[in-house]
Amino acid sequence: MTPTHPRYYASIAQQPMLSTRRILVVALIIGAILTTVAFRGLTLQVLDASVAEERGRNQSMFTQDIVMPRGLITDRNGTVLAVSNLAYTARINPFYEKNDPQKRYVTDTLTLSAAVARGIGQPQETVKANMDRILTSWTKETSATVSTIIAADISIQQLNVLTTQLVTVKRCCISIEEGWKRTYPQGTLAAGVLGYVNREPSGLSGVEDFYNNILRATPGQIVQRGPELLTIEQSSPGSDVTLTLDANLQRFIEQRLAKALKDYDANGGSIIVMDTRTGAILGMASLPNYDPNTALNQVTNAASARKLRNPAISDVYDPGSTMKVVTWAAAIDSGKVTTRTVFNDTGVYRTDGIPIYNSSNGRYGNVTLLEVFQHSINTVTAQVARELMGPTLFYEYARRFGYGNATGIDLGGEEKGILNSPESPRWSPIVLTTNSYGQGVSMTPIQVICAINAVANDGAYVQPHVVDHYTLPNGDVKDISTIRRYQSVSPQAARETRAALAEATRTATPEVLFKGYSVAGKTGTAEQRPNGIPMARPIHTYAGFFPASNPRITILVKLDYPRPAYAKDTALPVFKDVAERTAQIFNIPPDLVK
Amino acid sequence: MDRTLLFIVLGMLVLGLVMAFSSTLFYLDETSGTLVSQQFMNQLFAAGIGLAGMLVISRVDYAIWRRFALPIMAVVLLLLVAVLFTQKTLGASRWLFDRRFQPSELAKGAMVIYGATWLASRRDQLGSFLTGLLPFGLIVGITALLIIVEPDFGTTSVVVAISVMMFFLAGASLKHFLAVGATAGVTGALAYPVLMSLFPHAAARVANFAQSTDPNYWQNHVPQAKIAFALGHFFGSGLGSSSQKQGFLPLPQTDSILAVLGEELGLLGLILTLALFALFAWRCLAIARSADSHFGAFICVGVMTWLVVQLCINALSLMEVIPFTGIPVPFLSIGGTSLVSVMAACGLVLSVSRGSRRLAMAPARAASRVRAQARPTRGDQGEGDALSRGNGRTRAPRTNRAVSVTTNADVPVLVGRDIRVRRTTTSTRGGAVRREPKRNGGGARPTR
Repeated sequence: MTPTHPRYYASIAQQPMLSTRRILVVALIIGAILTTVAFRGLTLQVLDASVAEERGRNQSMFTQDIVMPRGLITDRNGTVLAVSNLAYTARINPFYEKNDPQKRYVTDTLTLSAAVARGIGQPQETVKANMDRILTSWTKETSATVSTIIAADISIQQLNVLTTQLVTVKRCCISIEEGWKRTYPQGTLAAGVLGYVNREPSGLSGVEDFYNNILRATPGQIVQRGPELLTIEQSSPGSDVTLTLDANLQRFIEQRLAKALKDYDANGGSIIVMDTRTGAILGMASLPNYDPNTALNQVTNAASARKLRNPAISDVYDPGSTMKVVTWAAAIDSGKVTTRTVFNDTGVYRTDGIPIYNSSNGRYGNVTLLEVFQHSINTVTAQVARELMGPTLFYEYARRFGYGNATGIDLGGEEKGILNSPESPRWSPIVLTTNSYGQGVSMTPIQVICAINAVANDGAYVQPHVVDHYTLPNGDVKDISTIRRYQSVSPQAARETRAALAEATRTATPEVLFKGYSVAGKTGTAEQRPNGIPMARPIHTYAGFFPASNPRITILVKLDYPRPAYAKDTALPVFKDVAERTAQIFNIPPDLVK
Repeated sequence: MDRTLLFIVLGMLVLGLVMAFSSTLFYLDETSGTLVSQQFMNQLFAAGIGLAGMLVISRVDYAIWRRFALPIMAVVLLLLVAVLFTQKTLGASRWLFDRRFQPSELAKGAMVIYGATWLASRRDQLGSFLTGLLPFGLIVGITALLIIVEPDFGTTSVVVAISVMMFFLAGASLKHFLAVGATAGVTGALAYPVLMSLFPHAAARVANFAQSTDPNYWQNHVPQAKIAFALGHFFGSGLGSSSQKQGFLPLPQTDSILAVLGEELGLLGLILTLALFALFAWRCLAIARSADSHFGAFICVGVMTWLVVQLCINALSLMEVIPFTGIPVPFLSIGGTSLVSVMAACGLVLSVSRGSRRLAMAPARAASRVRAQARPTRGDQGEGDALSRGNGRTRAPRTNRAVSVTTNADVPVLVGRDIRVRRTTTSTRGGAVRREPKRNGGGARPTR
């Protein structure tokens, strides 16, 4: 129909607004698309869902580790010696997503390192160099080996600064992890006793090592799948350990030892203060020492780890004359001698072909035990052991006093020394002779003090220990396991030896006495032959106890290779100062003042 | 006003806000102590503006948009050109004003209004290749080209779908349709390698499409959406409890909102959502059918296509039926511009359902003008124009009586309810007689 047709316009006018057919077509198209979506939904959500669903369940599973702090270590008065503080680790995320090396997210290390450096208070150059190193060395392949840590052990205060700084730059490329950092607030104090921990953290020496299982926190874990909680492993913090140590005494003996080292030009030394009756260690100092806060950084190999040992329990030496006390206690206990038995000292004792002399080549004539202790006579002591006691008896007593056996002190890394008994191929009768006055036997300072302590403690040998008790997280207090304790010699024999020693101390070395107390102690000046090479200077020891009538405190002072010749001039004054201070701190009643 | 449509729209709005709340829960800052996220508050604010805008637009006589059609389109085209000169964000130049405004979002609305105007005014020439298909194709082509080079394939397809659907309903020649379809198919196949080399990100998406053998396959966006759907099963995991939105699914609150809906409300929720959109489409088509002008009818079809196609493209790409393209789901995806413009469009459809008083009176005015005319202006082809320009009158006559058209050199004719003034050389008798339009109820009924 053309516009010229008479009914053209009428026909147009009669047309409906839109073609019904076309509207139907449109409706069908729209309906078809929507139905497609619905059917695809049916396939994805119900019919064919299993594979994707499995994927989804697994990927939304996440594990959250809960790390609790390691237990406290405190001294007997509650002074905190080791504590775990919250510490944060900052890592850099080298790549943006999906580990795609093409998408390096951090491009501007200058700005970022400036912010981090301000946050953790380190020079920016260091931080930037570290960042650049990580970013260049980190690839998809090396991701397992390259650490992305840019700052460790960040304190909460530093973290606050750091996060404020990071807000100003791209925050998302630095991630912060929370953890615990073992801190020793007293620095080097009692370092040898405390030990140190690795990053795990697990103790590597000292109390940290020995009581690792008690101090250690039990890690927990929460496994979640989406919002659904799958498993919860309970976590708990470590138990708190209380030491027998007294921080004040410890500080004093460390300072005193340092002074002695300086005064006498010694290159090392140890002081041990022990409760005579219980074997509890009240103070244990050794020099040189280390700061357990930074100890781990010093450990790079076995040799550097050796430097971090506790010499008081790990370094062996020939204790020398100090051990005469033990020999004589044994001899009296065996009934072979009494305190009144008279020996003739000719200044030399020859047996097995090798002559034994006294120090300074002294010759004292007819002597009893008192003179032996006063002058530290080698010849008579050797004679008693060699002739009156004999190897069987002597070594039986030596074992009872702990020679050649570890004391079992609750510290990691204890050595047991060397005692060559008659069964050993390296033994000969001359070994016995020298052993009687503390030569040819190697012992640790803790073994020496324990042997002396047995004499002080009425013949009862007690196992030394540094931990008094520990407290479980729920507040329960547990004492440490049973302390080994046995008679080395009879109380009678011990008392007699003790009395003779006290008298000898009073008469021969009155300078060790301090007001109101009787003291019994014995010097030891022993030449050392580590690896068979004689050292130019001897090691000085002074071991003793007070009050002599009723001993409460046993003390050992050991100085390595000091300049003065005799222990009387070096270890003895140190012993006196330590004893005086100990008496003050522990309120030991004096026995000479009524 | 079509109450049914209004309730459907309000239903979609509520559903959208619920999903917006759920999908942004994960972004809540624990330390802020608030129950709702800032994103949700923004969406709520946009919903308020959108609602107000929708109601205002629905009360405004939709015929006035014909007047603004050309300026709106011109401004949008200018903005689309301007956006090309901005810096690329996320690999595309789509945003203006500090990423707050996407001109391509506006282009959809502009295409609806301008397309409807153009098609209504050229209704009797649509069957022609030179005066119908070609100019319309050019308009759509230019707009689409400007959007595709941003690049934004999703919006381009929506704009093209809107125009094709309106063109089809307006009465395009089926032969042309088939021919254009075939040409587009062949050209597309030939130009495909060129296009892919021009847009590497699209090439990558096509290459990644459904590659489940890829070891990293499950880390991708669409597979994660598939996981979300799968976890939802039939009844869903419960509102707010989606695990996929917690970091696995990218953009859970915008492009991936349907996957979150599928996981939380299940297939049931998905189908109900689709049903809501189907109802919307049905109402739009019904309003289009009974609209009192072609302009209004085309607007309804355009808006319907816009919303439904946008939903379906998003859904199908999340469901791995078509390669991925990120476009927002109307009402559901968070995004202020999108929500406000979609609600404004719904307001337009509601306005059409009310009918236009101006259009209803137009025949009478035009007729009286014709009767009194001194010289009809060529180009006065639309009723809007007839009312406003060129006739020297500012007020329309009050009479609404039926117009009978007599033979004249310039013949005013009724085309449907549109009145036309055609210069004819041959005198023709007769003409259509129509009843006065009803004033109550949704506009006049067709004469037949």
